[in-house]
Amino acid sequence: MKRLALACALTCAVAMFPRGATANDVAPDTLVTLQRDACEQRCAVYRVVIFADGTVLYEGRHFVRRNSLIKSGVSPETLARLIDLLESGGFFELDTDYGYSRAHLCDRMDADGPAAILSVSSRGRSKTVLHSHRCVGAVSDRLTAFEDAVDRAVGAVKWIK
Amino acid sequence: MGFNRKAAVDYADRYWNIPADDGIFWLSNQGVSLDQVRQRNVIGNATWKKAPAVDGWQPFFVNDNSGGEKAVFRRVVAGKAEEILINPWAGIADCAHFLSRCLTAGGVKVEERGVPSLVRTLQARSDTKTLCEQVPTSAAQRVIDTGIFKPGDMIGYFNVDPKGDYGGAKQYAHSTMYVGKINGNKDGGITCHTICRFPGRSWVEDSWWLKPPGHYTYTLIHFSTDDPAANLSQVNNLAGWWQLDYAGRTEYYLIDKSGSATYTKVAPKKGQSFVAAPQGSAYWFMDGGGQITFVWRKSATVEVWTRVGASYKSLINGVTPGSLTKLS
Repeated sequence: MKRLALACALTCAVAMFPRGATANDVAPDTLVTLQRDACEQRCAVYRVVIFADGTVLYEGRHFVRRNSLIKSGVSPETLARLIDLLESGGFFELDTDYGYSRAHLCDRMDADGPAAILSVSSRGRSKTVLHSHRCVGAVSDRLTAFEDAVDRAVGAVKWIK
Repeated sequence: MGFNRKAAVDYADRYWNIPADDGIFWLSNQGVSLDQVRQRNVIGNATWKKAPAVDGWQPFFVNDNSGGEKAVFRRVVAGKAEEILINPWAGIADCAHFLSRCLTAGGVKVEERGVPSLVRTLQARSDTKTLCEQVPTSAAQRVIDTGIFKPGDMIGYFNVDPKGDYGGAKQYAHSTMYVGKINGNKDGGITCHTICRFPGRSWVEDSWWLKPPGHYTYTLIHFSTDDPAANLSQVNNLAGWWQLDYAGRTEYYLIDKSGSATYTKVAPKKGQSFVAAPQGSAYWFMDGGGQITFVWRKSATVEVWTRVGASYKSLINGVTPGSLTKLS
């Protein structure tokens, strides 16, 4: 329930972004990469890259509907809102690893779960976070919400399910 | 020819952590021939190297220490272990193929590499009985504890986790073979590939349920050719309509001589020989002492009928008694 509430809060934050993000809010060095890895329950394995101009590359690898390379795009406003969400949500202040070498950052570890690697560059800052979904805890929930926000921004569901 | 359970389990014991005897293991999108991958980079792996068998390279599935497994060639040279990666965790999907090989070793020729198709194929066979279908952990455990479900029988794992396969699609995601309450496994152990398991040797959970509640529901598929033969005179008395009264409810069972039963809440009419829209269906099993165990498919309810004179008394899930009346 806590995870759901957090996801809802982040979704609402994106939807209600007060100042109306514009193309000017997207720095030219912006690059977002989300890579989702395997789990025993046949989790979708794919990678999404969003470039500063809104170009999206999706590469489906395993257990996805579209098992190929697809070029798509997002609007500058959508990308600006996503970057703002990540910045305001504290993504750049996170640790670099949750659930692998730093399992102590998790309340506990589930038996199975995929990995997600989220990399974001923007306005001269860069951060890559390795996140095992076996990791259970508040920060892990935040990371999951960030990853889901990337999926939603590019509409990844149409390629996965 | 019947199913040789021991041969199937022995095969699993031998191949549980190595590719099957046909020299192939499956990724989600391609089969990998060991003969080929020893010589050529058929997967497109950046770290691929030749691994000739004559140089001592042997294939294994091993712990990748990140929650998954990896397919590798290994050898030991001068006491030092060497390893070549065949494929990392992402994409390995060999469970249905491995089970097909186990069953084939037991005399049941099956060739499936997808879990949904394996489950469908097994359920459609005339020598299997689906004891329960997509039931939760505690219900399936109840069925397993009857002892009717035996080593060599199969389990289908239906994903109910929104984070599970195909982005949380509700479908069969995994399959295993039950090997019994062995090697210290109290709930009952299984064997499978991806991740490879055999009770007492696995590095991950190998109790039949695999994961805590919320990830899967379970379908138990039982090979029935070696079930104990029922007492014929008792079967003749058993067949037909029965009325069960329990916990303030009344239900009507139509029992078939061949080992199945259906129930309805509507009292049968005179001469009625079938139930058009049954509330549920079951298989029944008679032991040497004449005790009958019903396993209801949808709910995994286990109901035991014990003889009382010429009739029976019922006990549902080990706790709820019921009285029985033969109607016709």
